[in-house]
Amino acid sequence: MLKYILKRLVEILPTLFVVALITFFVTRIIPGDPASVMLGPQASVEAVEKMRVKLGLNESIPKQFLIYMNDILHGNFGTSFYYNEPVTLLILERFPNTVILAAASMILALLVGIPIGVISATKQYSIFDYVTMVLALIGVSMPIFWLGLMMVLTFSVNLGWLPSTGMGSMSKGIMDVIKHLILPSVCLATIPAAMFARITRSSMLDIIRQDYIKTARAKGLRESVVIWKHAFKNALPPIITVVGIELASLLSGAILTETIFSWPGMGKMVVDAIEKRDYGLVQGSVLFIALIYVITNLIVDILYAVVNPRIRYTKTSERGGGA
Amino acid sequence: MEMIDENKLMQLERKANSPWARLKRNKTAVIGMVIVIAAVCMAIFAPLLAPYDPNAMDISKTFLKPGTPGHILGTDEFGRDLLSRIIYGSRISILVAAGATLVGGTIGIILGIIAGYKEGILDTVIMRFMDGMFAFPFVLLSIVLMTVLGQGLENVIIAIGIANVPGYARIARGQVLVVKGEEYCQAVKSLGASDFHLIFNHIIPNILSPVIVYATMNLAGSIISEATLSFLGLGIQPPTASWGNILRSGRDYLLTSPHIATYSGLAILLAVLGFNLFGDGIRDAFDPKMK
Repeated sequence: MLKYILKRLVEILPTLFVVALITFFVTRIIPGDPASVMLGPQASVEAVEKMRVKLGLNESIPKQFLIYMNDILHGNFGTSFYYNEPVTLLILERFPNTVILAAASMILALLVGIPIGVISATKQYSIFDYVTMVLALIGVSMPIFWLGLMMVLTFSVNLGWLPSTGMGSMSKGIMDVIKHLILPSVCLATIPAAMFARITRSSMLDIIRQDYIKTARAKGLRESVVIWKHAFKNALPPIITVVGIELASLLSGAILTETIFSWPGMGKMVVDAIEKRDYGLVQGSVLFIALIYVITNLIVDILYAVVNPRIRYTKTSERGGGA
Repeated sequence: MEMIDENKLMQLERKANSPWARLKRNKTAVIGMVIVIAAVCMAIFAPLLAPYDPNAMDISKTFLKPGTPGHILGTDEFGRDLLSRIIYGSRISILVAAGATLVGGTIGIILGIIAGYKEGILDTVIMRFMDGMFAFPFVLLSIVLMTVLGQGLENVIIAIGIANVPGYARIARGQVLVVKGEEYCQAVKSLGASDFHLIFNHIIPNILSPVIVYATMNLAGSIISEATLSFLGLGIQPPTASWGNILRSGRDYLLTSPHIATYSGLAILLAVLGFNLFGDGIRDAFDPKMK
């Protein structure tokens, strides 16, 4: 297992390099000199030149890239032009809030999606199956920003049950934070929950038709044991794959959800930075989110190998083939 | 008794098992297909279907409620007819979805074929680059590309198209690796066929099915991407109507005139649902396991 983890760690190094390469060149392509943007239109030519030297912009492109890589390896993701603060500090301030939102959404999506998928599979062609699968299909087609607005309209504006913006404050008690968390987390959980329900149903249907499930039933095992211990356990690998994809996608979803609900996380910070043309913050955050994305995928791959030991013994080239 | 013509029977069986026949038997896919056709017709015939000019302002008719005579879905903050704007908005959505799928598909397939056919260092370089692009969440990659390219319809198509490239490249590469190992490809090669001949006459026709399936599903994703970019203010700019920017302006009037955000969002949901249903149907129709 350790060998597999080390192999996967080595494999993601080129990906991380390409991520850094893309982010570096995007920074250089964006119109406008970062030093001028940082100092504003009133800045003198000398001050701009000084800032260019400070930012290393007067160096050759390959040298700039080496400086950039060195900065990243030392945890320096650049400087925000707007706040004039290190991006790392701003990320550390906001990232935990995104993690809270993403974790709450993932737990909610798993708790709703997987049982629905299992029940739908065991009661195939029942009314429950039809209704939930139609809802799941609508769920995966849902524009998340629209769903967010409709939830605000219904639960905050019309019914007045829940707050529509912000994160609340721990000083007002944990309930205040939970109340603020409900709408954004339900909104963000909708698509993953729908995906989990669909993949769980389809994976379970494949498994419960297998002979060993019939054998388990013939042995007189309780139905719940047959379903959860024998069928569900074997239906897990494709579900874990989708959970991994959705876990990484939550970061994308969070960008929109946080914007709608003014949740003070990374997503809202990126959108605000775009509106303020704070490219320093945009690039640093983008690189950070991409790194998190890669690391999340790595963790999912390892988890997948734990559940499905055959993966550990599959050659890299064979896995890449089907891509 | 009349002899059963075996050839005819086999022909009928083949016809019944053809992807098109399987697609027609799939009710949800047919519903999806109807929605897709309706959306495409709405986009093509927008000038005939829209009751008003989508950009014609009338300050005396701002924020009219849905059901007002002459304005079935009401009006927006400038007194523009919402139905007309949604009908014209379909043009942008369909155009961007088709354009981005074409851009992403073309570049991705070319890269995938080169990587899969040549293998070696070229394959490694291309696919590691694709992995790097895949590491960016889709929305984020589109946002980054839009900040580089600037606003405008063409740039929206290019940004979403480029963000689509890695998906096509992976599928095409995987298929090429399978197809080029098939006996008929080996035979053609041993007869002295050029790489060009082999790729265009034997490999491309045999990798198209999964690519078409992926493209159909990708259309739905591209509609959402366009709406997302416009909603964030990075995509199509007003006064041009797009479902995303109608929703963006509707957000500002959510408390007083929720119909603007509600109907524009419903249009996106319905279109995406249609493309997803149709895409699911196409996938099932082409899936040999479903025969």
